[in-house]
Amino acid sequence: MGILEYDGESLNWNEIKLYAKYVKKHGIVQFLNNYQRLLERPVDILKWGDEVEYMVIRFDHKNRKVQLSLRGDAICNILQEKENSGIVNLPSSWRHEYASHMLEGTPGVPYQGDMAQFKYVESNMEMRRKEIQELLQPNEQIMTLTAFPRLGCFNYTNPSYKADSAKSNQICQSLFIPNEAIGSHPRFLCLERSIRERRGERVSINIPIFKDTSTPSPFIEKFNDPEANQAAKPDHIYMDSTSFGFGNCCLQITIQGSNMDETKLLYDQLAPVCPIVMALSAAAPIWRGYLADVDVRWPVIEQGVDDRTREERGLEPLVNNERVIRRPRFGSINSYLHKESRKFNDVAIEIDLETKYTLLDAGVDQLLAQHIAHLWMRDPLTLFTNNIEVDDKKVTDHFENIQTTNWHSLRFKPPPPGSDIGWRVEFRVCEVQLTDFENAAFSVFVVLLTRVILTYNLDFCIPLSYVHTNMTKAQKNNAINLEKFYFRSNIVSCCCRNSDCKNHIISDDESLTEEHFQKMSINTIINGKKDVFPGFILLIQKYLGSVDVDIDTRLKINEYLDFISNRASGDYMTAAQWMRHFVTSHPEYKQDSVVSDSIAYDLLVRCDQIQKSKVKCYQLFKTAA
Amino acid sequence: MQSFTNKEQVIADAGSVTIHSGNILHKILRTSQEICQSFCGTVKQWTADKSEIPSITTQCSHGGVFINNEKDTEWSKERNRDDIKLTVKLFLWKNDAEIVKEAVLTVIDYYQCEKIDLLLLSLPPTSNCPHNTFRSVKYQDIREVWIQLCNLAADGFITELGVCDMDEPSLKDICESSDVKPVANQINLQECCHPPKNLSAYASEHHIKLLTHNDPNDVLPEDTLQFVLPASDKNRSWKPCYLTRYSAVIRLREIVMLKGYFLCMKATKES
Repeated sequence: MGILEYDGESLNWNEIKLYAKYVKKHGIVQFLNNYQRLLERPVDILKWGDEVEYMVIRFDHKNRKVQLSLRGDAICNILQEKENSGIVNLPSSWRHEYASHMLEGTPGVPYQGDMAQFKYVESNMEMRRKEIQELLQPNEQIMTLTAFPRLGCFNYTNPSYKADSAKSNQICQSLFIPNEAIGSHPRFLCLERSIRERRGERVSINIPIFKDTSTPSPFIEKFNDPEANQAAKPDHIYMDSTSFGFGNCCLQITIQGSNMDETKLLYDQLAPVCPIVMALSAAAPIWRGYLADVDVRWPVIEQGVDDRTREERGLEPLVNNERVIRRPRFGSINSYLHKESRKFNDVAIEIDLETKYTLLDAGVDQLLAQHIAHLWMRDPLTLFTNNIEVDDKKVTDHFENIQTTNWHSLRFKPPPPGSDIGWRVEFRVCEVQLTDFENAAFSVFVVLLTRVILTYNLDFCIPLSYVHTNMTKAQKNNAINLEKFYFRSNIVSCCCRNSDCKNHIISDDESLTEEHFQKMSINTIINGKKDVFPGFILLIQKYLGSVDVDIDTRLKINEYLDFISNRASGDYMTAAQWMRHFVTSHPEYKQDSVVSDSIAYDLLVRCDQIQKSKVKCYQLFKTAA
Repeated sequence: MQSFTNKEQVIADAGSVTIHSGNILHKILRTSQEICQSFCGTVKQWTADKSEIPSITTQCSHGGVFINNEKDTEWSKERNRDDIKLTVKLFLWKNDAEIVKEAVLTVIDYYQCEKIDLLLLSLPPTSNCPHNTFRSVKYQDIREVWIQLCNLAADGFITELGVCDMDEPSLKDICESSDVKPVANQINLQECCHPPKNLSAYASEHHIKLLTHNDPNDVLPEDTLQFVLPASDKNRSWKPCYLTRYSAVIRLREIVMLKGYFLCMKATKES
């Protein structure tokens, strides 16, 4: 997550504040130095990669308890030894993550734009898992679990540490998360502290609790802490640290476009796809030991990194801050980038005007200038003493500083200097799934979708406000089966000359009406419905019929498409729904939304068995024998 | 040069007809009957269009009519030929070497694209097992056609040759009998979820890629034929000579640029 090289001491928020303008200004200078060079960049081939986050779990079988093992950092250090010694083209690559129970792995070398590569994705993921497994201690397991169900509960870590919000000299001042749970890399400690210090109080995350028959109504927890009692909402699960959000695991996919224009196009086209994939991959229904009424990690992170002050949140009159800011720095994208979708930018956004004019003057187009100026509205949250004065021509540290502390559903990534990496779009909404099969399926599905979009000139764009609505819907309990999402009906831009043809791309002066988009279920969007929508699966199959694919690759892809198709139709459950089902049918469950230590233990034992294929969970998926 | 002549009459008088579907990439998204839909209305549109028939070019050198509605060919807009992979699947109804040459050159001439990167030969189902998706052929039976393809390859018109639906003995026979071996065997995945083990083993050992297709045994049934080009009178009917399906993909980006068909039919007198 973000740039991890650093030099010097980390600054606290009051010190960072003094450099905020400096960092932002130089960030733009660095971007522009790079930008002029990038305009002449030759056409790039498709390259892509996945990033999988893992958590280290520790089982205490005797006492039927499961904890997070805080050895993620230490394991990552060992795994990085090869890379750090200068060996290149390794099969895997490793990064530290926010919480010390986590680590992140990627393929060592990106996949190239050749259909045959799709059959290697899953085996690379399996190999990464094995690499970690070799370094585990007895009773430790590695899991690709989106959210640890007892995160923040008593004694949830191993080794065990006490969370104590009263210790004001600690970086993490949460009631639930001990300091040691945050990764040892200074960037993460810095983030935890800066977010709180800038905000002026602890973050307050409130997630609606799932109301079962015996759940207290209203559900109110009393804490030994006035700030918490004030911030905790009734009928919600209250959490008070950025760690609750960033201590989750996700699956990210980065795709290289052939040039800046194509990358912008992919960014725009993937935006309406984000809520769909979020609902399909939902895997986080349990928070701090309670069943929630949401199925995904998204709202937890959104609220967990909210560094806006009370004034910026509109709770107090503006005295020390410039303006009210509508949204936190984590969330859905707020504007389309490609000129063809400009008319759908109907979400009001705050921007840093100075940045915008600097970019426009330098020849950057209106939409990109607006997008960057919107990111630049945020302050830097981390800074190191020896990383302040840098050569703006050679590095883009300050640019990356602001760029990587805006966490959106997609990230538009310019090529870094000194490398042959091109323009990329990062797809960030997918929850990580329990098994490598499922993670490979989602990765391949998204990448294939981009090929289909480019081949058939598809247009999924609808007004961004509707995408925002979809993102909210996608988070809900069982959204995949119960919710309907706004989606564009006429996605094929037509080449015919018939002006009455409904398939035409909507012109600038036309407004998008209900004729052009409608509410559809996930099943319709993925599997299609006669006379309504062709369905992503059909489009991908059509595409595959036009390229040369060898049998092994085709069989693998078919497995992945069947899996996605069955998820969408409800034949398979999402991990979130399956976990709910597991909890609510557990003999010790008391219909009170509580996921006790022993229920969590049984749940994770089962998850582990599923991942190792020791148990076949047909509710989740079947694989070919 | 015929101008303002009744185009329908032109067709009725023609000995053979080659129809180009045009780039159907965007057209076929909503349908499952790809071949049928690709030619949907093509002949009607051509006969309705009052402009001149262009002079016959090399593709129909034997005096046939070329029916095509596309005004400009999209190939190679600022792209290197090497960045594109052009795959052509050639469906034959008879093992006729002359037809093979015409089929190959039609695609190349139309798009001015120098060569075909991969040509996949699809033979008619053998009479002994018409419903089987695997063909059982002896090299001797297809020798002339194969040699013609090898010659075209030697002349630079085709880079790689492949076959379709061959079972293991047939594939082996071709590989052992010919100097030029197929680089690929395209088989139907619908019928067999996994390729037969002996075929997989042989292909793997001899570096032959197994590709997949979804085409039925009878790729141009009678009612599709009637739909594309109805017989103008009772004494004549159209019989297919060859069907080529071409697909141009941008290498290493795997984006399809073009997809379409050429269908050549000969008029036969009913006795």
